[in-house]
Amino acid sequence: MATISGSSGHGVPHHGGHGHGHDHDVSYLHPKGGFAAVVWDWMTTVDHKKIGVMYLVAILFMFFLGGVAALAVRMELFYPTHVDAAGAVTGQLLNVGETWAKGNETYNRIFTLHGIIMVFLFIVPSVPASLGNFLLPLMIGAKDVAFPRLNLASWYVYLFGSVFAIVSIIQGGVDTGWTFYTPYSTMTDAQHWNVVWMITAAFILGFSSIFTGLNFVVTVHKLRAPGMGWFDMPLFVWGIYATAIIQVLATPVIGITLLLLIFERLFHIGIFDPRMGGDPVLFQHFFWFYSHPVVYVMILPGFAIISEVITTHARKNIFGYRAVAFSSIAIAGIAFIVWGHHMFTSQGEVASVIFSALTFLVAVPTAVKVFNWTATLYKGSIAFTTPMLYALGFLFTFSIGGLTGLFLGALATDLHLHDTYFVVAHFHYVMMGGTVIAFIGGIHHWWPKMFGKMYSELWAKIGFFLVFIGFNMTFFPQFILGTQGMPRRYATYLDQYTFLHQLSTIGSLVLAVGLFTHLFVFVHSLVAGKKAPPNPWGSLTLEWTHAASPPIEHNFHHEPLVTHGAYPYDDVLPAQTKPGEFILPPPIPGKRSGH
Amino acid sequence: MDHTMPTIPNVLAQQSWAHRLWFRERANTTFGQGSDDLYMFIFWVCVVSFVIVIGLAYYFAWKYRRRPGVPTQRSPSHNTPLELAWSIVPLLIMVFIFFKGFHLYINKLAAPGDAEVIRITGQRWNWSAVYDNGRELGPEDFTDPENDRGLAGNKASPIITVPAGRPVKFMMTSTDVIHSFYIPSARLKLDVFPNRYTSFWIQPMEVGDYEIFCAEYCGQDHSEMNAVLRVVPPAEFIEHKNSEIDIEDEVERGRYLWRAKGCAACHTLDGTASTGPTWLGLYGATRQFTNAPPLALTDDETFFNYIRESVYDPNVRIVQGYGAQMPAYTGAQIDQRQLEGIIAFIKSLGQQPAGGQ
Repeated sequence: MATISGSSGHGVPHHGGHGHGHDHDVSYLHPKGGFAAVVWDWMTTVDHKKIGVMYLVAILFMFFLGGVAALAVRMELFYPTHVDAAGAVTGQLLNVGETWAKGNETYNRIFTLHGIIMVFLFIVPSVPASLGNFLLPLMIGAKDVAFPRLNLASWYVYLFGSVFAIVSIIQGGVDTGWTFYTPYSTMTDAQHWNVVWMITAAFILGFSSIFTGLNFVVTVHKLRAPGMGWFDMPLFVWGIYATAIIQVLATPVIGITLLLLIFERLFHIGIFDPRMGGDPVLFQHFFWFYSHPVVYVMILPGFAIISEVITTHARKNIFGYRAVAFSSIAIAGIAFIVWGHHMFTSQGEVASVIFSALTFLVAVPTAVKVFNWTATLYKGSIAFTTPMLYALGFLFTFSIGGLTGLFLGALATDLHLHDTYFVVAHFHYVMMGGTVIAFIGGIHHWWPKMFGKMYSELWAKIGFFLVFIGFNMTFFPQFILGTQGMPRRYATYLDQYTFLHQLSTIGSLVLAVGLFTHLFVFVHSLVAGKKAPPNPWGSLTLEWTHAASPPIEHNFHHEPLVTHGAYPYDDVLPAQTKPGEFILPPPIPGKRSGH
Repeated sequence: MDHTMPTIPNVLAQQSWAHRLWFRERANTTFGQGSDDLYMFIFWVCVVSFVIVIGLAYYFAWKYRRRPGVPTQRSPSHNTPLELAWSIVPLLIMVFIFFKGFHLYINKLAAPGDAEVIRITGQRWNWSAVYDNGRELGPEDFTDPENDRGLAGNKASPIITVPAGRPVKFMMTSTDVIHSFYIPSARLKLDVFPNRYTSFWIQPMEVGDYEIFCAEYCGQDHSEMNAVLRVVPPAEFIEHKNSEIDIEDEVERGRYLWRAKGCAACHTLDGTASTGPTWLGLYGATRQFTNAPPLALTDDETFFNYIRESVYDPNVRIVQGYGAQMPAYTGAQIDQRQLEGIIAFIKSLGQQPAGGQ
């Protein structure tokens, strides 16, 4: 009757014993010798799990840095800057004893820093490089990714790129905005190299992204366990796969664009600079040809996490598996033909009309996913665990982020809202309310698997409510600010916007407290967490049913044999719905169950 | 399309509570109001779909919450008619929103042939305007710097005067980087480029002062690059446009040009350093440069030539402590008579004793 496990007769996986049994049964976290040996082991590891953990640490550190910059931006905006008749400046936090103009410049460098760190160093690698690296081979029953050394190389390239970014920051940072729009970016700080270092950093980081993407595409194609057809893959794998395709296809474009930008700055070749016959809008086209698809590199992994969390914690087969899977691929495809909607105020009218029409197309597969997740909850068995709270929070915030895209996709309303706080609120609701909320939920979901420890549900839930309330309080007022005409990237503002800005700043502090609560939860869990069972949530995907918590070095004792889809929760016998115990009825010959 | 001017009470009566919450004030142009109507339509579409979807999700989550001994119930894992319906219905709504947005967009950009044309030039960090008879902004066309509205720098913002109830077309270009000419009350903005002209038009309905912002990030004082759109009755506009602004007095002409040509964005008169050096006490001082030997500005000839060179070829000598930020002007932008005004104005700002500083 048991079919879920290929390795054990009763459906419960072996637990890789710590300190006993054979060497290959040892957890991947088991230290190999003294401190120096452990460091060397981690630094030279080709184990996708260790690389995933190293990425997680690096990425969360970058999230912290970008978050500090964000708080500095919000604090500056608590008051508008006033200069009285005598020249005394009030309301300017970042004024370091100099003129208000220098304060403005500091502000410009800090919001640029926030954007560059959050986009290039945090959110693009975030889910794929950390959770994706850790989980993808486990979920498809593989020992590792297809090219383990390339995987390690990608991590070192990421570090190398970060060094360039840090060099640039130490030299005073850049004030170009994360978009590097020409001709401003080719003119500013003309005597200095910091802009070149920063662009070089983004260029190098692109290779890290390509390495990861390439690895994942090949892994999904070639290393699935016997019996796992394309439509037996967990939806997390579909999401990461679609992401990887975009990374491989779009990232080279930004690489070339950034090189051209460096040449323009250093050798004045006249591609983007109008003084030499170049066209600054050409840069915008090149830039968004990458940077729009990359929006989906950021959000598709978020969708991927939500599909896993909702099915597991609602103990329910996903509603419309194929629709969710294909919508990821559709989004990845359409992502390449909507870049012009970032340029409704700068490109020609005909182009704007075409891009507006195409933009509304991408809304359909996105809406379909939200409907499918909602329908999955129907007649489920919903546990309000921290990951599930994050998934429910995600539905709320991501829906707002998605729906407000309609105001921006419509040409007439975009002419008003473009480059205002409405746009700032919109993309934070998608990026932070979508990807980051899903990412935090995902870390909690897979935390027991990654580190073999449970975390404090109580404190994690307190963290969730602080993050959820703080996030909405920070960004919802910004929709109103933008509607009332407040432009973005302003170091100060008219007095009439003060109340909403202050609300937003207070919200950002609540959000910060919430995020630190989660940091506390994680550290506490590592130090004093209860030992996690192999499958605390009662999930049915391979990383839970066939691997120990934490997994052994080679993931599985035996290559798993897959006989069903990813989410056959309806087929689990009612008597065995206790966590960690799942027995499936025998499959009907010739017919797969699960979707 | 209805081009009549609604009266004030009529406009207020039309404003819904939701619109007041989001926008505070009605748009001041017909098409601005049209785009607000579209905004409110999308808003209600969003509210209804959000409440349905999230309401259902949370209702399901609560109704089917996990209870001991109660297993997951069986339910279909897909339903093709339902999935088709929830794909096609949103698509139809989006087709409608796209079409409305497209229609109003063309309306906002395509100006009627009889529109009053005002040329706008963006320059870091200042807007300047020229009417179709060649009149530039006059000394009176700037806000009182004492009237600090929260945008730092207590600088005087240019006031661009337009007639109420008449179509006004803005022809916009930039001298340096990309800016964006944004009139929130018209719900309209368009980017302003250094290598071409862009245009849109408005037909303001009610007289009053309205904000103009720069909406494309352009550097240090981006947030101070604002202006005022002053809507006046048509007769007053004609009178304003035709008023003489040539200033006989050289010093006063220079003071006016300091604002009108955007010098004020970088050069202060009170001795504080900004993006560029202050103009206070320049005459008689000895200048230190990063790329040239020092220069004693003690006699008229050296001083005149130095200012002339700084206007037309500013990077020949870069003052110590500053970057090569100053744009080069041409004789067409600042003519001889104007240059002399600027020189006289700077000279009037105080004289250091010879060899001082």
